[in-house]
Amino acid sequence: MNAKYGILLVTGSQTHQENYAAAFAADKRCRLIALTDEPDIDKRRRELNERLARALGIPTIPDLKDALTKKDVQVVSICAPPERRARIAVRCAEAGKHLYLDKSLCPKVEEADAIVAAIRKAGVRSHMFSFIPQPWARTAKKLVDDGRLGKLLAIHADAFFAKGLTGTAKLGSRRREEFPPERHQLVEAKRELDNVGVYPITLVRWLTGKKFRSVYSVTGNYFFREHQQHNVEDFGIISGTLEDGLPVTISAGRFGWTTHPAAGVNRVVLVGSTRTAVVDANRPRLEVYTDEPPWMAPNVNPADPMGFWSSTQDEVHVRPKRTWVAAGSPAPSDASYFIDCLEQKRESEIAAPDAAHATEVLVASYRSAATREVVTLPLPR
Amino acid sequence: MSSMADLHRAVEATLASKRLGQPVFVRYLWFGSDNPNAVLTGLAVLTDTVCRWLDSSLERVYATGGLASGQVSLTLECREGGTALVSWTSSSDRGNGVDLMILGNRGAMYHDAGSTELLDERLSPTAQLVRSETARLIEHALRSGKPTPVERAKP
Repeated sequence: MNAKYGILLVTGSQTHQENYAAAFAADKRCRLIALTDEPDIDKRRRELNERLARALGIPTIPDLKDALTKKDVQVVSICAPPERRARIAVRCAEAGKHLYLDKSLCPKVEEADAIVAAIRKAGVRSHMFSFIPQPWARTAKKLVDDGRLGKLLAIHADAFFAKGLTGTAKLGSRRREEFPPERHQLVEAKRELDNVGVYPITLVRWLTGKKFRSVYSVTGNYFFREHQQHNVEDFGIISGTLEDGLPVTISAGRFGWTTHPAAGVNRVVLVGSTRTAVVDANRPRLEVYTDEPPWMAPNVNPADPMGFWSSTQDEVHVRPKRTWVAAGSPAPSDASYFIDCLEQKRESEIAAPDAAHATEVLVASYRSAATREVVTLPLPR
Repeated sequence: MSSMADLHRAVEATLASKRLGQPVFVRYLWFGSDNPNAVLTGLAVLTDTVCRWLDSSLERVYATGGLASGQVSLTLECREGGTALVSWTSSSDRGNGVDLMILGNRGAMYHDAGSTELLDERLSPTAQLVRSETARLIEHALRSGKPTPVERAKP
């Protein structure tokens, strides 16, 4: 099979590009062309970019402007930090490239609007990373679409990542959220309502086809000193309604290596008029108990205390958790899902407009948490 | 047959062991009665129970849904920062009756009822008769559609 799709990578090691690049490389329809970034990045980011490029055996092109002129690039995989992501995405769309976007799309509503406008004007396709290609999500979608639940009455979704050394946050008082939210992605911490909450927000939108109409949100610092010190949350809840009045509750965050037997909680309760379904990413599963040494949390990597990235986890020899073994259908890669969309000349189910709505829900949620008021959507432009 | 009281006893024993550290968040989904008075009382009892588990006093409540609609979700905020999502549904599919997750700052517990049905609606011996302060707060929050501090709901 000819590798039809040339993939340009924006930003390298210690981003999700480590995973996305590998997924594209594994798809025979794709060929990694080069790694690039904006020309004025700092030394640390430049070195990390070059590190991933070397590992992948591809050249670096120091200036995104030059990289975008390459005719053998059809798709750009963008993993720049949140504060830079929107302007890069706009430039890539304007250059006529299809966009594969890290989540969440970007921190600001106006940036999300700009990305959507650029993509529409250029007529390119786009996709934000999500869990929707995974079998458990498809199961949930089928349950909703084929009417087996009756009329959908409520959705309750939870997503938590089990990474990081927990128990270090100082407790005893309510978190005072700030608006607008600053500092989305740091070396030691991320805004976890955004980072993790984007998944259930996107899932709910995709399952129902409806947008959020209102949110009431609370954020917290429950688990990690690192998040607290940088004044970003490690936990958040959203109680909302969709545009058809459907009530939705979401809890999301990061809660520590030892707080879950596997990678974390990822489930949705679909309450219907005739049936209620609990769809869990960790089911079906086998549970395996042996005399091998119990799983232990890894040593902290000072370059990545929360275990955000594959490369830094490898450096401290994170062992896989083996008690739960997935027993369902194998999950196709999200990257391959996007390539399928390009091949079939159809929009992704999580294209930039859907991703932009998730950004709006997150911004509204941060406003709600900061003001302690219900926030209605759409937000004023 | 196991009851909600059995489940709560197991939760409280686990919390007392301090294995989870300090409880910080409770997700409680209750599939319960259709009787609006029983539901309101049940939600009030669960609210008080959850706050006791969080070892904290309730500061404010935000409520969505309605007793008539068959869906109510409460966002509970406690004074020392703990939070909870307590939801009731009157879905005709009674399922397991309770879906429960409790997070502490050092651990978590997840409820797996297996094939047991936990549909004990007798949340307390006098639950049917009590119009507690908490029940009034929840009623107020449902009527107002706004986050309701504890003081605002006092008669």
